[in-house]
Amino acid sequence: MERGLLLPGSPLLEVNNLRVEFTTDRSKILAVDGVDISLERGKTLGLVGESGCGKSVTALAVMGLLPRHASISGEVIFKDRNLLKLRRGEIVKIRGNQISMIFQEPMTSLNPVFNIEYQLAEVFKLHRGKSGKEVRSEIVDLLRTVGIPNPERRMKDYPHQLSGGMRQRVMIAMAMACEPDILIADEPTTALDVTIQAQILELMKELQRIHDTGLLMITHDLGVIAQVAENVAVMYAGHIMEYSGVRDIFSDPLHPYTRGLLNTIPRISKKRTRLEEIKGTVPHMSNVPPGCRFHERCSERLARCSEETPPLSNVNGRTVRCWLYK
Amino acid sequence: MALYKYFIKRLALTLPTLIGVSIIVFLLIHMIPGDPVDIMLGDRVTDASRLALEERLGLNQPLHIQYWNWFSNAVKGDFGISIRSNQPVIEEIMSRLPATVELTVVALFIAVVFGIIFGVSAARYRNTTIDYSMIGFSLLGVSIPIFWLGMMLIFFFSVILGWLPVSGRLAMGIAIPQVTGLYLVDALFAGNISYFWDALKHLALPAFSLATVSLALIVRVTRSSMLDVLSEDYIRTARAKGVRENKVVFTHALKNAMIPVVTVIGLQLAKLMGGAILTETVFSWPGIGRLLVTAISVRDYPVVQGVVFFVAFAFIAINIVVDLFYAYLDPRIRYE
Ligand SMILES: Nc1ncnc2c1ncn2[C@@H]1O[C@H](COP(=O)(O)OP(=O)(O)OP(=O)(O)O)[C@@H](O)[C@H]1O
Ligand code: SF4
Ligand SMILES: [Mg+2]
Repeated sequence: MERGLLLPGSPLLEVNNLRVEFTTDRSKILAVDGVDISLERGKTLGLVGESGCGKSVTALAVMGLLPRHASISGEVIFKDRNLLKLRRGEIVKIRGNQISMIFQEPMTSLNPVFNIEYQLAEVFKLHRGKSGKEVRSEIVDLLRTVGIPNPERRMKDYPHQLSGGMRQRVMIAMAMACEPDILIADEPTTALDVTIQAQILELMKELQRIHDTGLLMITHDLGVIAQVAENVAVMYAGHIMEYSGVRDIFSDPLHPYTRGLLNTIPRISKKRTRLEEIKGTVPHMSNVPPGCRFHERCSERLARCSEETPPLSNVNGRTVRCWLYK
Repeated sequence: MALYKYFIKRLALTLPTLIGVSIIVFLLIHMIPGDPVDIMLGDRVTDASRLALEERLGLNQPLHIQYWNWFSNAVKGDFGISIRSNQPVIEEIMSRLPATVELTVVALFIAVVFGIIFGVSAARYRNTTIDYSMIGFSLLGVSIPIFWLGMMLIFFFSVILGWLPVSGRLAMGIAIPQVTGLYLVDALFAGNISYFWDALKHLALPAFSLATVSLALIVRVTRSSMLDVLSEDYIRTARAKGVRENKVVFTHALKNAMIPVVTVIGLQLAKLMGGAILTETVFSWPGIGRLLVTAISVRDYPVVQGVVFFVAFAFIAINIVVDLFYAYLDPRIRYE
């Protein structure tokens, strides 16, 4: 119904100038600083960067799931509404219904004291007003779709009776139960074995294709990005550093940080024996470095880099934040 | 594994404990320094009464036979005859049991219900005035001696304000028809609200004194357990599903947070039983605790044995119930 109203190509979700700062006893942590991203129906945006650069915080801000000590500004536009301005009673109707999220830790993301059926039924109850026996067959179907064998029996199981891969399938089932417009996946495969990883990614792509879901895939693994994403946003220390199509990112990375990340993935063709690491670590955001946030680790640093912060700018139709392209 | 199988397993594990307890209680009478018969009879000792008592207690038989006789009678509820009143010990216990049960159950109810409500609110409204006042209350509560608290409550509410009675279970001249011996329940059976009210007024101070320490502890444990649970990943999942905050707290979090709380409640029951002795003494509450204190002071050993064994037995039974509840809450125990 509402889907038809959206113009083709117009973004499903738009995050504009998002800024998140945590105030703790001792310090202020600027976790996200002016992030712009947008997500289209049926398309996947990869959000990539090292640990601690603000990926999860960005996602949680979209979901309205940040703790109270976070101060948030900017806008998150979904279906003409700014989610950051919604009252609690309204955002809970969107969560798990139109926008869903799955998390990195399948072992701890399901409630240990409720069985799988209860945890899935809850979603239907919350958003479809259905309960009990009405949804049993839907749950069975759903579990079958995500590849859980013997769903009639398995749904009586408690989380501790399932393997990590199975639990992540249950999480996916839960997230997709209401056929959301948007699925945010925060490192959904990081904790899993390589073979299971591939299966889970395959499953997510399949469900995305069926339901035409917009997918925000958060990862620090460019291999995952290569498999699923059309567009990529490279994030570093709360900033978007580079934002472009997945082909460009891999064939012609502009930002030195992107190049650094690419050097960390093994490539058979180049016969590298040792992977290169990016030297140094992500700066802690209680103490934001002046100038370009990456300058302490950048091998192509210019004089101005440690003083002036480069803006995100357009370079031949691509978006990058670096003084090399000015 | 189904809950009932767990129950049976748990029951079997109880048997050794029960036997151990019974041996200790049995030996109680033999641990009296000197000759138990002399001590129990005091000045009243004559040769005839000596023999009679020895006979009655079976002290002239070998120890293991004595134990067996005592144990096989005890499990049937026969603890012998009170030296002081010449009544069967079990009758003495049974006539005072309802008073103690009523007191402990109401105290436990207060401690558990308010303990959980306060603890959950403190966690939910962390670092607010609500939280700080709960922390303050629980710090105070755990360190107050029951004896002193009881006295202060009597002084304030009974002596100064005159709102509540000083002691006993009912006002003079009131007699509630006995059905269960629990006056609150019996008053309701009798359909007499003013009796109910009277019984409640008598119960208020002793129950509150008895509850305070446990209440404070339950608040503390609930709060910290809730705070742990609320930062768990599955709580974030629940929120991401669109569950409203109240339901997140009271369903998703509370059921998990209750697991350590139930352990503490189980432990508190032992404390409540001990506390009941003090409380009954302060408020002249005619329960088992007072029976025990009196029996000790007049060296009525069959009664002492009977009460101690009975309480130990009750304690074991309660522990089983607590464990069952535990297994109900946590599927990981059930399926072990
Ligand atoms: N609740 C919070 N309170 C205070 N600081 C926080 C909180 N959550 C995140 N941060 C801080 O915000 C920064 C960004 O964290 P975020 O979790 O978004 O990183 P990430 O990119 O998802 O990394 P990872 O790959 O490790 O998941 C970090 O410095 C982190 O310490
Ligand atoms: S702005 Fe300077 S320091 Fe930053 S990435 Fe570009 S060259 Fe490196
Ligand atoms: Mg993260």
